[in-house]
Amino acid sequence: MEILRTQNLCKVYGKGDTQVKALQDVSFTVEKGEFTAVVGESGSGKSTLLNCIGGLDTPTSGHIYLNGEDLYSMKETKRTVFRRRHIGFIFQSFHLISELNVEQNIIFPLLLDNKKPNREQTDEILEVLGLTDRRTHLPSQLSGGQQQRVAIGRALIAKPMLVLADEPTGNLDSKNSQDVMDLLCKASRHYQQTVLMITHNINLTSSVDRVLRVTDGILSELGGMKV
Amino acid sequence: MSFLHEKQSRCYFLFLSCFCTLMLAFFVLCAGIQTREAKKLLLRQEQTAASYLLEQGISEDITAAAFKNSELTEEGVRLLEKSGRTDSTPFWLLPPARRAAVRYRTAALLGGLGFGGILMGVSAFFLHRRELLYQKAAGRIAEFAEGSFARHLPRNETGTLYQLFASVDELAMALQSKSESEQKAKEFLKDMISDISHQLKTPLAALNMYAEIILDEPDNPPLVEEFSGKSLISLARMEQLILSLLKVMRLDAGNIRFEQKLCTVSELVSRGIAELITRAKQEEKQILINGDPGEQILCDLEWTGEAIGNLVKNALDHTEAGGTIEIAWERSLAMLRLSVADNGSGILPEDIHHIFKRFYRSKSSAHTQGIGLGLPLAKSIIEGQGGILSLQSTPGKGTTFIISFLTEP
Repeated sequence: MEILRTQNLCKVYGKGDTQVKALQDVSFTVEKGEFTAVVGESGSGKSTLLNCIGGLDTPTSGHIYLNGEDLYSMKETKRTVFRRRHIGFIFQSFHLISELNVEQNIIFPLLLDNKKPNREQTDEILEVLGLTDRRTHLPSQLSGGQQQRVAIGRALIAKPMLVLADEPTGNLDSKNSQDVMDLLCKASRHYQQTVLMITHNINLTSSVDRVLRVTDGILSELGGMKV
Repeated sequence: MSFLHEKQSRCYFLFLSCFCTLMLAFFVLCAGIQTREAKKLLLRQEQTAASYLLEQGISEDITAAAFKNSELTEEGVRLLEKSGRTDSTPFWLLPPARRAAVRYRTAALLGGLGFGGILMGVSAFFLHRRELLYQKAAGRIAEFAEGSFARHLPRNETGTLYQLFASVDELAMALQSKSESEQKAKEFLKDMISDISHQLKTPLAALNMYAEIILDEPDNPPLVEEFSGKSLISLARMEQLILSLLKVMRLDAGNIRFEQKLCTVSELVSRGIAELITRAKQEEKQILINGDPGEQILCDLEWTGEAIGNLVKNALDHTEAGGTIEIAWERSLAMLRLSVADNGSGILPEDIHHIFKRFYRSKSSAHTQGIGLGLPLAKSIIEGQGGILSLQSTPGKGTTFIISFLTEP
């Protein structure tokens, strides 16, 4: 089942001589449950791609379809609600709320949407991410890798259609990075979660299903391990 | 007051508040006007009475006193009764009251109709809009029931109603996904059956042929011996195939219960490679083991050992004589990683996509014996226990398979 489809996506900054073509005619699809990594150098356009898909940046032309809905033909208010309900984000710098403990940080998106958190689901996600022992700890009591795992839990709890991860291991050392990558993979397989991740480090993509590369705004397929 | 989260309900509630405020203002205004009018009426009455009395020659003092009097006497009431002025006189016989009454009644009627009309009108509009929304939703849900998931419910707004729509939409998506995976499962089963029959056809045909040959020359001991031997080999192959297939299908169906026990990694690894040591020696390939011998892991010893065995077997299949296969393990902050690395031919990029597919045999392994189930089996075993199997490979340099298990509770 197709979760994401981009069609001739273009993003251009500036005009005339100083024009920058951040994305050029990018078209690809992501199926449900797929873990796709987008690799590229700095400035290749991968962050722009993620921002457009996440509804944070309007593309110059082209379409983005999330579960069949054209993201940019909606009004801003509707897009905000759509984004909040159906897209999960994992940022490079975790962005946890320092006054809330691990469990509270994870269930936060549910509270924002006026939903009641389910105790069993929370327990399960803590277990999958290896955080059960630390459920009442504050972010300041956790290591970088553990904080990112909490961020992963937060992105997954509402079972969004798509999880967008922007360099999730960018702020972590190599040991933590591989751990976090493996856990992200494991969690996404467990919940059949569709994940789109951008990273500049191709060595971290050994456990993903599919790898795409962006160079100067152009997307190409690098093959992967999809069964 | 969570009903205020939804825009429509909020607008309607706002409208009702404004409406009530206006109505209150209207009533206060009416009350004010009525009191003023009553006062004017009374004053007018007193003025006309006073004028007449003075004209008739009654002194000013008595006239003034008359209007200050608040006592009621029977004679007074009876006098007015005689001229037709009592409580029960219909108001249209009392001219001043008539005019006021007509005005009040008109005002009340118009006010009532006006306010009532506005309230009914806006409420009807609100309810109609909701009806349209419900109808639209019902239509989309009917489409879902028919298996058409192209259009979605209107779900991109705040409010409990839209949350309901979003939930139903999610339900529909789950339904769609389920039907697609059922479809895929059917396809998969079909492919599997054809693969199995294909795989079994060859050894069966060979067995047939051997049996016929033996039947033809039963008195030729060396021939009988040769082809009986070949038959046994074919039978062993078939047995191996069937056993592997059964394992794969049982894992798929989730019928396997892994008995997770704490064991040392070295114990696990030795179990895994036990049957392969002889082969490695024969083929002049080295198996190196590198890791903390005391390291412990929680897993099913038998199954996980088999998974590791499969990985090592794959490494042996794709490494030249003189090559090395290194099994190493390391504990990181949250995970235990076990790697099986070889310096053999590596995996071509176009194969990586397919390597864990059942019965997939890449062109580079055409010369080796095997059915193509070893790697998929290993993956199912490891993922069934909550681990991850990943790989890194460089064509010409070698391949590394990595098993990752979460260690922290």
